[in-house]
Amino acid sequence: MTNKSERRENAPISDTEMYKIPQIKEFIKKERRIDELDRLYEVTQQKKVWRNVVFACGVVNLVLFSFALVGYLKDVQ
Amino acid sequence: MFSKYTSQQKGWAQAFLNVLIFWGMSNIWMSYSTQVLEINKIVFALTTYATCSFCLLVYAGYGKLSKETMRSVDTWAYGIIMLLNYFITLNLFSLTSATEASLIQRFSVVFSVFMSWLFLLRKPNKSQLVGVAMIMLGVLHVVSTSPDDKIFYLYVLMFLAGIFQSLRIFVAELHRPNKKAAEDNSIKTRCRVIGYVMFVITLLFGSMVLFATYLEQYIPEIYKVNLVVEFSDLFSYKSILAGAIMGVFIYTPIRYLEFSAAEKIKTENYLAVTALSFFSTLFWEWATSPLTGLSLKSLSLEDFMAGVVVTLGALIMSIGKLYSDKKSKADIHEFLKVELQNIDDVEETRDILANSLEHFNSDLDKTADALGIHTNIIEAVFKDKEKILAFKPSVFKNVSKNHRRNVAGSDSLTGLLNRNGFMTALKDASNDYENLSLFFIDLNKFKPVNDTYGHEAGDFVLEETARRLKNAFPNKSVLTRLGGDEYCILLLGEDKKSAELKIKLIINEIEKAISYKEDLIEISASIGLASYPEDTKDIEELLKLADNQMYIEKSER
Repeated sequence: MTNKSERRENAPISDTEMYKIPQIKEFIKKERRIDELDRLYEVTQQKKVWRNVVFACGVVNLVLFSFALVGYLKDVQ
Repeated sequence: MFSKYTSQQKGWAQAFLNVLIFWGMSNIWMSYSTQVLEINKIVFALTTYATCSFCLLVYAGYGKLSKETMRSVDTWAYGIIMLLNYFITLNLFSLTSATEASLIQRFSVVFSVFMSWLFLLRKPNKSQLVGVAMIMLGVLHVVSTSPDDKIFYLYVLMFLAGIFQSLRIFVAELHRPNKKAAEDNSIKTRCRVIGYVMFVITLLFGSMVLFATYLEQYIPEIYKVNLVVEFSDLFSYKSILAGAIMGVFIYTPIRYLEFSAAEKIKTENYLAVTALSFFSTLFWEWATSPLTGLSLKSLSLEDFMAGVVVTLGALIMSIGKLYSDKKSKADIHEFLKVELQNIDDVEETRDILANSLEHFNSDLDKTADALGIHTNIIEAVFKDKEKILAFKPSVFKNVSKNHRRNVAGSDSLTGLLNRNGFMTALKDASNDYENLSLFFIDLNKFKPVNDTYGHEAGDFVLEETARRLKNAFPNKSVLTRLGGDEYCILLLGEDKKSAELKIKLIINEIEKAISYKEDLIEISASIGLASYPEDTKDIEELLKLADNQMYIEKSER
């Protein structure tokens, strides 16, 4: 009735360690069990959201500072 | 350098640093920006939030709750309320001195207590009522002695600030990712979540500003109200730079220190320190006045006394809450009686308590929870050397009912039913349901866990397995740990065919690696299934059949 679990080549790792992996896509290619793959995909999605938001936020800040620069130059003239 | 200080000491230092330095500076900077630099408040607020959210997100780095926060509808509600609250605060600081504005802001406490009582049914205690009365008195005095041309606006802003500040606190309590982040006890996770909320506000603010400048071209009359932003304001470098200074150097450290201090010394202690914000604002307003040109002339001696009253009121509330939390023990006379005649009552009371304490390994809190009484009742009984205290009859009835259900029939480690409790539940279920299916689960590789990681890890695995099974079968099921590493799940009203479909779910839950400290522990399970009435019509044989099935399965491995 139970799955005959296959021995795995790679030891499982904790969530905290997962967030530290630099090349997560490469890491996913290694033999991973389905439950660990779910956690790895979760980490990639969380990273993606963070990157997108930080990028968008950085752009908003840049736009604001460029407005300030334009305003300052106009004022000086 | 700071390692010689305990976490608590660091927490107190951070709380005082935040309130005495950063809060004071924040109030001064808002007054200076609005009154001296004459910034556009919307552009200022937009820049504050944009820069602060960027700093918080970069500091926090990637991690948990990113998706959840951005997708949560609560985040937008939280953002909108924060935005309105900040805008009202800026208007308040533009009308009066920073010290007076910080006092007027305290009116929010009155609303918070009132709303808690009205909507959350949290009845205020004496210290809260005294505190609220003192704060109301002080704040109303400050507003009523303001110049006539400002008095009406100050009253309006006082009410609005009160409403939105308390709404902000309520929404923060209800905001799911924020709650999860607080439970996570990680400063970075909390900074990340607030960073996202602030980003949402930035987007909202940005859209508002663009919409307002669009309106300007078609409905110029709207600017007579002098409330929204004009296109030229977007290039106000003073507003943008002042906002950026606020966001990076004041708002970001305030947020970080708030989370860090609250995590180390608990939120209620942190809130007690915030009561001192009047003095910090007053000091900084006085100390920086030669540089800022801000005047404290409007602050009379009477206003100062009102400030002292407000601060004392806030302190009474905070310290009163701390004290009442620590002393919120039940009145022992409501639960216990002095029994000089009937010694059996005394013995029964002591037996129930001793048995329950033993069951929960002398854990007072767990014992009290299970019996539905307060810990000080248990302490009182065991401190009673003369042995004269017994439960009152009405209390005894409830306590013995709770004892039967939560102690005699439950497993102290996992909180699931134990064998006795389960057998009773099994018999009851056969009277109520036509079909029953029983899984007998035995963990594999459990002994090596104890041998390798120790018994503490073994207990953790047993608890985690119970937690997962409870989550997997939240309804129409009875779960038990029969002993050791054996669990049973009784599915109510399910025949064998539908029960077989659940086997995969159980295996998946159990085989997911368990994270224990720095290690990941993997276990598996052998499962036997028997159903009533398909396999047997004798309910007592059901457990035996499932057990046999499990052994057959185990021997095949």
